[in-house]
This record gives sequence, structure tokens and C-alpha cells, in this order.
Amino acid sequence: MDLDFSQEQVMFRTTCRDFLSKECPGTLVRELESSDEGYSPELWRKIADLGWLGLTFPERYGGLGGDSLDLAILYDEMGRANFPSPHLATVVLGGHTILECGSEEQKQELLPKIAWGELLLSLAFTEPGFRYEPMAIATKATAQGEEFVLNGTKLFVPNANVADYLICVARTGDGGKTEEGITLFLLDAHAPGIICTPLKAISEIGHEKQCEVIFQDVRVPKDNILGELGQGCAPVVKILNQATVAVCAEMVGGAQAVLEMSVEYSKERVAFGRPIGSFQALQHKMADMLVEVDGAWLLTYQAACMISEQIPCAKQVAMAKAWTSNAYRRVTAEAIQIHGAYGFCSEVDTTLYYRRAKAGEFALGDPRFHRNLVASEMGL
Amino acid sequence: MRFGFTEEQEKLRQEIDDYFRQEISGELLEWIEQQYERVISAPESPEFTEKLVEKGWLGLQYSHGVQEGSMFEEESGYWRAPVAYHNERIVGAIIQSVGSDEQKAYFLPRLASGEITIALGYSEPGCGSDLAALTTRAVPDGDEYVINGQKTYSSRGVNANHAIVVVRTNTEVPKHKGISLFLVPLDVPGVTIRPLPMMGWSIDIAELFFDDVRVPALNLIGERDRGWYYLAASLDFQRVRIGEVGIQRRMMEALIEFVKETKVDGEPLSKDPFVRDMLAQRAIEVEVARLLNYRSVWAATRGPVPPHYTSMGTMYLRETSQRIAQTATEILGLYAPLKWDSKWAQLKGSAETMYRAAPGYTLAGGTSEIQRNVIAQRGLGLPR
Repeated sequence: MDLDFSQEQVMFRTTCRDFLSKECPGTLVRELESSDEGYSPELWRKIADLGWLGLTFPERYGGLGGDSLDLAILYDEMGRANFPSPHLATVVLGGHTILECGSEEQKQELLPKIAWGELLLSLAFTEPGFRYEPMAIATKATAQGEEFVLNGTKLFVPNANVADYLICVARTGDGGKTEEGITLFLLDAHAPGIICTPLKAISEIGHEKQCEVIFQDVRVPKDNILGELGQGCAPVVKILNQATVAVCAEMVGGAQAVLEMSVEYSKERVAFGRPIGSFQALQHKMADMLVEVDGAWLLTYQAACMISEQIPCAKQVAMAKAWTSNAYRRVTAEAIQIHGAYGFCSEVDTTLYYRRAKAGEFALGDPRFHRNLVASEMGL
Repeated sequence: MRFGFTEEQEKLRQEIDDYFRQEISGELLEWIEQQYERVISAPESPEFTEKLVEKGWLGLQYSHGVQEGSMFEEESGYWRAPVAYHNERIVGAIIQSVGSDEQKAYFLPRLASGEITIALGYSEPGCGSDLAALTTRAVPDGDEYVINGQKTYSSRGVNANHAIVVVRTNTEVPKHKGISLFLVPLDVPGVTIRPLPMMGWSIDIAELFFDDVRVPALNLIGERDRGWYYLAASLDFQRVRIGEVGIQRRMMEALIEFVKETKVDGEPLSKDPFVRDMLAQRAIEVEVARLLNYRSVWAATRGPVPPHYTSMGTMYLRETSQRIAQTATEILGLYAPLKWDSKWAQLKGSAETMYRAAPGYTLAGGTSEIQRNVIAQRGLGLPR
């Protein structure tokens, strides 16, 4: 075991932190959250210049050739700063899917544009009903000559309202096993028949700004299929795993930040003649918070490392998401408690982290879903 | 950054696993299980231990590194290897580090061979967590010291022939600065041993009474009045409890096997969503406990381990073990309270054994409350 980051990784993290602490204060986060787009095109261009959009793309597609560990570091820092952007939707859910199963032509056409900040994407896969697995897909794609016609409703599609392209996960076959017969379609997000309605939620920061996307007789050329007909399930599962680890890293960054806030506050706030951080009740609370946070850090970076090393890690990803979701939720609640009523004011960042933690808990599978995955991986 | 072990380390682990799998079988396994079912700790076999010494596996942290040493501890815990001389190794390490040449020459071989066995004489009726407030006195008299006082909750106190006793040798200085460590033979005049039955976990706990007990000055370990600092260093080392990670891994496997085989209304328990959820949650906790403890081990390769690392690892592992005990009883249901030798006992009564042992986990070797103080004050810098 070696828990040190490489020198390059340390430098990368420092760059991210410096940039975000300067460019993304809490006031901007709230402003962008309440805007229609949910992000700043100017900041998007700046992070494109920094290479954050092509971080994980091979260099020949305009990227930096980074891996899941580098991505985790970026998301860790973005989570600390609550940076609102369509990065997860565009780069991971969109870009990684194209990288995983797009044709060479599709990769060359789209990936550099994503890396340069010229294209926004999202992946439309979740549907009404209470299931997280891609196998629950019912949106239908019916073949008609050289085209497919899509019909169905997608929910909780991140940043669909600003996307240029959508990747729609649809069912082309009704084969025996529900993993078969799933196909990925790349569509113009403004194609006729696509109706996008933003949802209102406890947090609308970054990928938490989500939409209902209805497909009504939407026509798409069969050349726009990503990968093989009927073989879309495996790539989706792989990309969702990568996205899950990125979201975990984002939650780890937020959890660490909010714990640091709590420690600092409790050292300065005086009650009954002493800093409240000297009271054992709060000390024990924060000790427990540190276990939650460090557990999340260890599980998340373990999963990121295993993805980078291409070691099968379905169990470790599920463990990371189950734990981190609960950890972030608990830590943000305790953080408000430690700050007293002050921590409950909308202007104070504790409330940003608290709201995001609730959204993150359910993103890409909630703790119960992931614990069930762990149980299966354990052989139960 | 790497979370797994190197190829060489994994080869070593495989070697250790293969050896334990082969050797811990037949009569030896039966003997271990008999003890284990009663007290959740493997018995100790000097012969078995000798073979490990010959293989060099008890000195892995010196020959290879702390990570290899810890891997061995974890697998020993998992296989319930009857390794002896645990306390003896700790005392040996202290003597190796601060003892005089004469002490090293006399004590180290006798500790390694098991001729000298060690009970721990730390806590007193008046002080456990606040150990520095101890009152057992050692007063110099010629080339001996005279010890008066009482120790309690002494582990190995019933069966060991010596005790490492923490005493006060100076009342003129702040309490931490007047403490010394003595190696006291327990078969000399003035020593009384009274077994102290605990509800679970161990059957070898005693009270030790010292009435004008005389020990040679040779038995004062290291420098007089420096004992607190020797102890602090060794307690930190003790607290990385990788062996217990192995023990909990085994318990989890036993529970997994049990729920796969046990049917209720025709369905295996492994399909019950509640059982799946509980066991998955415990598995995640064991993984976090493993990572926290191996983090301490990794940190040790780079210098002194931050004290809050060891506290986090220990505290979280021990509280997880309590949760596993509770989960085991929930899975066994009506059969949970049955003892190991009762008719109808399931899982050899280990749920009952573990549950009775469980309260001790957060009391021995640093209570959870003390651990949280350390985490908060030394990890987060919160004010005392």
C-alpha cells in the first residue's frame, strides 16, 4: 500500500484548488445555481484551457491522457468548491461513452470539441419508476429503414437543458435477458420531438441540475448508434461506474471542506468562557465525522486506483458509493449542528454542502442499491 | 498511489495462507476451535510458535517491513493461528530499544523462548484511562526495589510467571514524569494473584497485589522515571490491530456461509433483503476498518505514525466488531443466545460468545472515549 500521490498529481491538485478558490466563491455558486444555464460559459472556457475537459481523453483526441485517479483528484477539488458545471454530464457520461464505444470517426469528430469546451453533452438513461439499473430501460427505439424512432421518457438527466447532444439509452430488442437489446443513440439535443423540462430540487448545482426529457417519435439515423446494436448495456455500466467514483470524489471533497469549516468554527466560537471545540460532546462528534470522511476518502481513492489499474472493482465502487453517500449526509448535518443557528442561514456554505449531500446520496444509486450490489458481489 | 500489495508481498501472503491452511487442521484445529468457541481468542501453542520463529515469520517487520509484519498478523488472526508470546514480544521490543546490555542479555532470550511469560500490570482500581494517576510505588533499597500496590484487569494475570508493572518512582515531579517500568516475577514473596472473571473475551484476567515485593534493580527497564514515554511508544505500536481485522473477516465468512445454507420458509436467508443489507453494511465497515489500520501501517514506513491514525483504526475496528456481534445474533434469531455446547446451537454458539465478549472491545487498550479525545485533539487540533 502507498497512499502518496505522485508529484504531478500533487501539482495538479494545487492548480485546481488555487483556481477554484479564486474563481468560485460561495456567492458565485449560489448565483449560478439559480440561473437557467446553471454554469458560467466563461469559466467553462477557462477550465477547457486548463485541460480539465480533456483530462481523461487520449492525447490524440485533444486530451491529457489522464486516468480515473486524476479524475478523482479533479472532482475532489470541484466538490470542495461546489463548482457548478456540466463536467460530469459532458466529459464522463458523454465523453467517456464516446471513448468507450464510439467509432474512430465519432471519436475524432466529437472528443476534441468536448476537450476544447465547444460541445456539451449528457446521457439520458434513468426513467420513471424507482430503479437504478440500466436493465430497467423501457424507452423504445424502433427500426424504420435507415433510421430509428425513439419514444419514451427519461428523468433526472443532468444538464440536459444546456446540452448540444444527448446520448439516449434505449431498448431496440425485446430479447429474453433484459441486459440484451439496449442500444446507445447519439442525438442532437434539439431534434424535433425532444421536450426538455428542468426539475426543481434541493440542490441544482452542477450535475444536480436535472431534467425530464421526453422523446416523442424522435428520428435518429442508424449511423448515430454508438457501439453495436443491442450491446449498449456493458458500456453504460462501465461508464456509470466511472461516474459513480467521480461523484464519490466530489462528495469526499465537500465532506472534508465542511469538516474543516466545523473545526475552525469551533476553535473560534466561544461559549461559557471557552471555545466550543473544547467541549467533549463536540470533540467526539468531530472525531466521528473524521472517521466518516477518511473512510470515504480511502474507499473512493481505492476504487479510483483500481479503475485506473483496470482491476475489476464492482464491489469496491459500490462500497465507496454506499459509504460516502451516508458519510456526506451525516457530516453535513453535524456541521450545521456545530455551527448552531448560524450554520442554518442560507448565506452560509454549510447549507450548500448539506443540500448537495442529499442530492448526491441518490445520484447513480443510493446506499441501499449499492449495498445490494455488495451483497451480490459477496456471493449472497 | 496503490491500495493493493506488491507482487512479492502477495506471494508472501499466499505462502503464509498455504502454511496455515495445511498446518491448522485435524487435532490442532479441533483444539483451537474448542478454546475459541468459549473465549474468542486462539489458545497459544509454544511448539507451533517455535516453527514460526524458525521460518522467520515472527520477525517479518524487522527482516522485511511493517507491511509484511502486519500481513502476517492479519492472516494469523484469520486462521486463528495459536501464536504465543504476544506480550513477550512487546516487552522484548521495549527492552531491545531502551534496555541495558545486561538486561538484553538476560531477558531477551528468556522472552523469546517462553521461559518468561508476561502479564500486563497497568490499570489499578483507581485509574485505567488516567493511567498516569497510578499509585503503585517502587522505592529503592540497596540494589533492589520494593514494590507496594495493586494492579487490576491484568491480562494473562492468571497464567503468566512475570508481569510488566507500571509504577511510581518519583512523587516530586508531574505525574507523567515519575513513572517507571518493572519486570516483576509473580512467584516471589508478597505477590498475591486473584483471578477476576469477566463476562466474556478472556479467561485469563486477574488482580495482582504487591506487598513489599522485592525485585532486583536489573528488573527496572531502561531509565528510572522514563517509563511513561516507553509505554506511550509501545501502546501506539499495540494499537494497530491488524490481527483483529483477520478475525472479523473470518466471522463475516462464517455468517455468509450460514445465510446461504440456512432456509426459512423454503428460501435461503441470503435472499432476505434485510439480511443482505445488514451483511453488506458490515462488509463495508470491515473494509473501512481494514483500510484505516493499513493506513497506519503504511504511515509507519515513513516515520512516526500520527496518533490519531492508530486511534481511528482501533476505535472503528472495535466498534465494527461489536456491530458484527449484534448482526450475528440478529441473523441467528432465537438460536443466538445458545451457548457453544448447547443442543441446537448454531454456528457453534459463536454469536453468543462474541456478543458476551463485545463490551470488552471498546474498554481494553484504550476506551472509545479516549480514542475519540485523541482523534479530536491530536488529529483535528481541537483545544483541550
